[in-house]
Parts: sequence; structure tokens; C-alpha cells
Amino acid sequence: MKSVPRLWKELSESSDFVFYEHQTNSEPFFIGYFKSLTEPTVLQQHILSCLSNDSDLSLDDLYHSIPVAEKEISSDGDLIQNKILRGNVAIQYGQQSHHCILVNAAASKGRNVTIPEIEFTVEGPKEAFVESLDINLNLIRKRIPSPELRIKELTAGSVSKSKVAICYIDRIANEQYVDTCIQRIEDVQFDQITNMTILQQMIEDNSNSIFPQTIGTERPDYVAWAVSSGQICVLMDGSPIAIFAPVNLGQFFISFEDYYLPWIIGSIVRLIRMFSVLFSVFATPLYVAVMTYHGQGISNVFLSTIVSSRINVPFPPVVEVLIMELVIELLREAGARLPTKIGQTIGIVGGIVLGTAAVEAALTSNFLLIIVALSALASFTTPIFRMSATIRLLRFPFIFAAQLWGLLGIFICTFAVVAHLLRLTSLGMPYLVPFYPYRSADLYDTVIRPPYSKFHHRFNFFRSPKPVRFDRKNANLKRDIDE
Amino acid sequence: MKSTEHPRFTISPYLVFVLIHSMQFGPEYLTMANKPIQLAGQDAWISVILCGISFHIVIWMMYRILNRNETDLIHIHQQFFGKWAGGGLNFIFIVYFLTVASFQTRLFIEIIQVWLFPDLETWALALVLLLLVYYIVAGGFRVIVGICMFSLVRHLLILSLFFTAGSFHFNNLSPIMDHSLIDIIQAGKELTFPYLGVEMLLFCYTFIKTPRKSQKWAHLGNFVTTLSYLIVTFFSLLLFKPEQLSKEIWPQLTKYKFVQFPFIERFEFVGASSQILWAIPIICFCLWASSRMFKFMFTVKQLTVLPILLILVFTAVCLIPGRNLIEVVETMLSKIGFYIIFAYIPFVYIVDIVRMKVRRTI
Repeated sequence: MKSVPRLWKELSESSDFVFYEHQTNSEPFFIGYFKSLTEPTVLQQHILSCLSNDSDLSLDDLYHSIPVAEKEISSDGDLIQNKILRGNVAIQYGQQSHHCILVNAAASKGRNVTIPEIEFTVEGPKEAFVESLDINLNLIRKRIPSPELRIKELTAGSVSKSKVAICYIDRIANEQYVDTCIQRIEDVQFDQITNMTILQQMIEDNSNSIFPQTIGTERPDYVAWAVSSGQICVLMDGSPIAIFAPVNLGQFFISFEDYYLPWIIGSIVRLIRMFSVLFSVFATPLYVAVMTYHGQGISNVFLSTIVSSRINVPFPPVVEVLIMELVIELLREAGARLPTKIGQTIGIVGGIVLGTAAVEAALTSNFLLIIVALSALASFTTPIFRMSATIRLLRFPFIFAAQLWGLLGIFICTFAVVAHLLRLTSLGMPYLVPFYPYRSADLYDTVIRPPYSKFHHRFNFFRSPKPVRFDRKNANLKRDIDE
Repeated sequence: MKSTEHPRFTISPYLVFVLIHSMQFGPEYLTMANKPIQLAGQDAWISVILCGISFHIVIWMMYRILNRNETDLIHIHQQFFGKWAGGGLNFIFIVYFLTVASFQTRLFIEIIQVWLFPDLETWALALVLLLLVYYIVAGGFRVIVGICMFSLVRHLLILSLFFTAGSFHFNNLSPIMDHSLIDIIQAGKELTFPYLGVEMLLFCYTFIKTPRKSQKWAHLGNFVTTLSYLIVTFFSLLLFKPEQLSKEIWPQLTKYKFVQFPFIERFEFVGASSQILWAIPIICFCLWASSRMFKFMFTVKQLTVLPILLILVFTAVCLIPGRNLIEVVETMLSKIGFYIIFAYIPFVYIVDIVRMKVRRTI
């Protein structure tokens, strides 16, 4: 344990640490705080004003006269240090006594709640998480006004000491998943954890997989939905992303807006999204396979269209495809790194000028240009950012396999991906559930988004102690004609 | 003695259906109808049903043996015949499964060489396939069953039959019961080979969550296989004359030539590549079972044995050069399989009953 005088000496090495004596009639007060962490108005109005008014105070009197709720008296050096580093003001009375009053005066500087930018919805609420943990927890608790919503605070990172909050509903989330989650966060040994996504990579079951095993979202409404379905949410101070687990593969292709749309429209949108994932992965590899090996496999009319469009292209199909995929990736990366306004310009320049120029210069065929552009577009329909990066990356092994053995290569590659997905777990839950292990009762909200009358129980694979959402019998009131 | 695996590794009883069905239904179905039709002509479908029924009886026997001992055949061997004789029997099964794995790999590679890439090197494809198999088997039993389940998408290809429907000759089926019973049984014996695979049940019994409940699913698996083989046989009968069939090696792949789409001309490319869906589950299971037997016989880790076995299979695959030797291996495996199913399993069944009787009298 650190002694208090040593603490003052150590902290005074930083020039933003303020430490001074407040002279009184008897013993002086010593006041220490970081001016970079504290709110000057709180400090002036509530703390220092109490000191200057009365000159003959004991520490206890002072403690009771400070009109701030979050305060305590302690002589524990480590605790004092932690509190000061989180924006508290420490007041020590006299040289001998090592008791300090710690008053919270932390400055809450940060963004206000803004509209979601990654997962924008037309009809949903326009609130997104911000960097402050307190605001984020407020956004969640506002949506679940229930005493069973539990928030467990932990710290992660030996240097950053980031505040991490685990958030779940007691008796809806499975205890085992909660314990696993807490255990994994406590086991993290890394020093500087600046963002949720860093922690996310450390607590996932298989960090060598390109498939994410937790979903990161910026929408508090989505988190509230997930938590009330029995999932566990993890938030971190300083990160506008909340993650939740356990998740299955299907959930990555669900946009939360599906739930705000009427169920038929929502289902069709979801089906389109699933199809676009398949298209995005398989379109260009199939082009390579067909153009390299299976030219006879497709009908003459179709073949002549493709061949005539690439008659002047000097490259083999695989090189042509790789060039085009690379161009698209470059455009995306450049667009992501540049400020929004320039990014738009680059998009137009790249999309129109480069595209037509590449065809005219016989670097690529019209046909391929369409396929590549479409599959890039299709990969962006995946609502979860990390998964859409995975989908974009996934097609490259398929392209190489198609170049090697055509259709057979694509088959082998598919097998390898399926085997990989079968081996993955999320907090110990199989990744491909409810398809494998097959759970017919949990198929309702996967490929289509059914009407809410079908949501009568929570997914069995979350192993919720309270699996029933509502009583199905009372919900479906059947009426006869003219009744 | 009761032994079951940790619940984390076990599968639900209904998955036994997937297991049995995908173990039986291998790429050899492509050629299965040729020989029986030579023997029994238009009555070959009766042989298919007879063979299916006899396999139902074998499945029933296996469940009787397993349920009574509540452990898998590896341990039953050692209980019944002692450490050395039991170990020897286990070793025979290891060799048998490794041969099956090599045969299936080689057969698949041959299909690819005939239908897709004539210049493809055997070792190259074998290497990639076995690496894939390693990755799957290393994932454990549940992953292999998952792969089996995934490979069930192959049944979508049954839709291609509709394209051939226009060319069916229903006259080929009559007259019914034109052949002697001996011919039909002979044909049925030839059909044992495609039905093989149920013996895998003896080795994964402990991986089934409530094994006693799984029997109906095993029977259902065998039933669906019988049904599929009936379709295959009828298809061969309806589409080809017996004289044509004697020249045709792959009647089932030829059917894909009938498939016509507005933009796909030669569907047999898809048909031939998709045979991987039939081959991979069997190869994986064979390697899993043989490495597991190794684990118990020599107390080594399965993960260390697996690469060695894969290298053995790889060598064996490379040593089978062409069609002739593949057929030799097929005949040999067909014989061994026949005796395992119809001689060895009944034998173990009788030994089990005798043991029970003896124990009761004591």
C-alpha cells in the first residue's frame, strides 16, 4: 500500500497535477487534483467555497458540508490514487493525519448523443452510443426499466484501466454465459485497451478466425433487444461500440431495421441480404472457373456474350478478376481513409472514370466489371461491419481455388469454410445453431423475420432460465366469421 | 460396463439418421446398378429391397449387442476375446477402414479425372482432400456429423431426374419376376457394397446422447438409403437397356447430360464436382474411427495418430493407378464388407447371447 505523502510526491511529477496548501487558523488543508480531469465549476462552487467560508473546520465537518453526493473518507493510498486518477479531488487535513476526503468532480467532456452512422435506420430511434460509459448505460437502462437489469463493472488493461460494464438481465440470461464472459474479461493481460474492438478480439473464442464471434453495434435499441432475448452485452468506457454474445452466424445478417418493418417486407429485405452474401462470395470465383475451365458448360448464347466482351483483354480471367477486385478494395479503402467530402469525389472518379476507362483500355471486360461492382455492392449490405469485411475477404481464397481446379476448387473451398464454421463457437455456443445442431423450434427468426406472434419463446440455444416471452394461448385469439 | 462421452461431445439421437445415411450412400452409387442388372435384369429392384431388409436386421442385431454391453465395439472386442485377440480384431477393423478411406478417395479422384480434368495428378488432389479431412476430423465427432448434415444438400440433385423423365422406357420393367430367386439373391449380394457403412455405428455408439432412442433413426437412415438406391436402380433400368449398361461405367453421371438450362449446357460438371459431397463424410468417419481405435490400443493421442494414418492413406491412394486396380480393391472390399456384415456381426451377436446365458446360469 502506498503512503499518502509518497502519493503526493509521485503525482506531482505530472505538471497537470495541482497540489496546494489552504491555510487556516489551525492546521492547513492540502488539496490535490488533476486539473485535466476535473470540472472547474464543481471545484469552485461546491468544494473550495466550503473551505474558504469557515476557517475552523475539522475533516468530518468539512465532509458533511460539501454538497456533492459522491464523496468518501479514506486513508488507503491505492484507493486515493485511483480516485484522483478518475477525476476526484482529495482534501487532506494537516500533515499528520493521512485521512483524505475524496470528492467526485470528474469532468464529463465528450460528444452528445448523435444519430447512428454505421447502422442508420429510417424509422428506428436516432440515438447511437457515445464514448461515455455513463451515457451509454443510461441509454440502455432507459429502455429496460427493470430492477433485474444487472450491470457489473470490471476493469481491463494494466495501463489503461478501462472501465468495462457487463450488462444482462438476471433470470433471462444464462448464468454460465455471464460467468464465462466475466472470466474472459478478467483474464485479459493486455496493457492498453483503447476500444471495445480490441477487447472484442481478446475475449472471442477463436481469435484466429476471420469470422467475428460477437456482434458489435452502436444502436442502444438493438442492445436492449439482445439483452432481453437472453444475450449478454459488454460496454466499455471510451468506446461507442457495444458488443453482445453469444451469437450465431445468422444474426450477423440481420439488420435491426428488419424488426421495425412489417414482417413480409422485413423478411424479403432479409432474404435479399442473404442472397447478396452468397452472390458476393461466389460470383467472381464462378466467373474464373467458367472462363478458365468450363467454357463448354454454359450455353453458346451466353458464352458468346462474355467472350465478345473480353475479346481484347490480354489477361487470363483470374488476373483480370484480381485486378478488378483490387481496384474496388482500393476505392473502398481510400474512401474510408479520406474525409467524407473528398471521399465522395473519389467514389465518383473511381466508379465512373476508372470503370469506363478500364473497359476502353481493354484491361477488363464489361461483363466482369458488372459482376465485380455488384458483388462489392452486395458485400456492403451486410449490416455488421466486421462481418462485411469478412465477406469481402472470403472471396479471395475462392478465386484462387477456382483458378486451380474450377468448380471442384469452389466445392473444396466451400467444404473448408463449412468445416471452419462448424468448429467455431461463441462463448461456447455452436456458431451454426439452429441449423447445426438442428433446433427446429428456433428456426423462426433466421431466414425470414416472422410476425411477432411467433416470438412467443426465446431461442432455446441461449439457454435462458425463463424461455417464454408471452403466453401463446392468450395471444392468438381466433374468431369465426361474423363474430 | 457403461461408458459414454462427455455430453459436450455427444450428438442427439436423430443425428444417427444422418450418420447412417451418409456413411452408406457413398460415390459408389454411381456404378452400383450395373452388376445387379447384369445378373437380375429388370428384377434388380427386388434385390435392392431384399438387401435393404437384410441390413435392417443387421442394424437390429448391432443395437442388441450394443445396448446390452453399453459400450462400443472396441471395448466389446477386448471384453469378449481378451486383450490380444480383441486387439487383433480391432486392428483388422483399422485396416478395413483405412482401405475404405483410400478407396473412396481414389474413386472420387477417378471421377474427377474422367469427367473434369483428365490431366489432374492423383497426388495433388489427394493431398488437398486429405488436408481438408484432417481439418474436419481434428474438429471432433460433432464436426464430422455436421459435415454429414451439410452434405445432405446433395439430395437437391435428385431434381435432375426430372430432366430425364422424357426418355424413360417403362417397357424395360416388364416382365416382373422373370429371374430365378438365385439370380436375385446373387444380385443382392453384389449390392452389399453400396449398403456398407452401418458398421460405423459400432464405433460411435458412446457418442450418442440417449443411444437406446436412436435405433429408430438408424432404421430410418437405412430406409432412406434403400429408397435412394431404388430410385437409382429404377433410373438405370428405365433409361438404359441392359446391353447399354454393360458398356456404361457411370450411368448416374450420364444422367446429368440430360439436364438443360437456358444458360447451363453441360450440367455434368456440377454433377461430377458435387461427388465430393458423397465422398468426404465417409473418408472423415473412416479416419476418425481408425484413429480412435489406435488411441485405445496403443494409448496415444488421436491428434498424433491422425497425420500418420493420413500419410498411409495418401500413399495408398497414390499407389492405385487406374480403373483396373480400383475395381480390384472394390471387389476385395465388397467381399470383406459382406463377411463383416453377414458373418462377423451375427457371430458377435451369438457370442453375446451365449455369454449372457452362461453368466445367468452361474
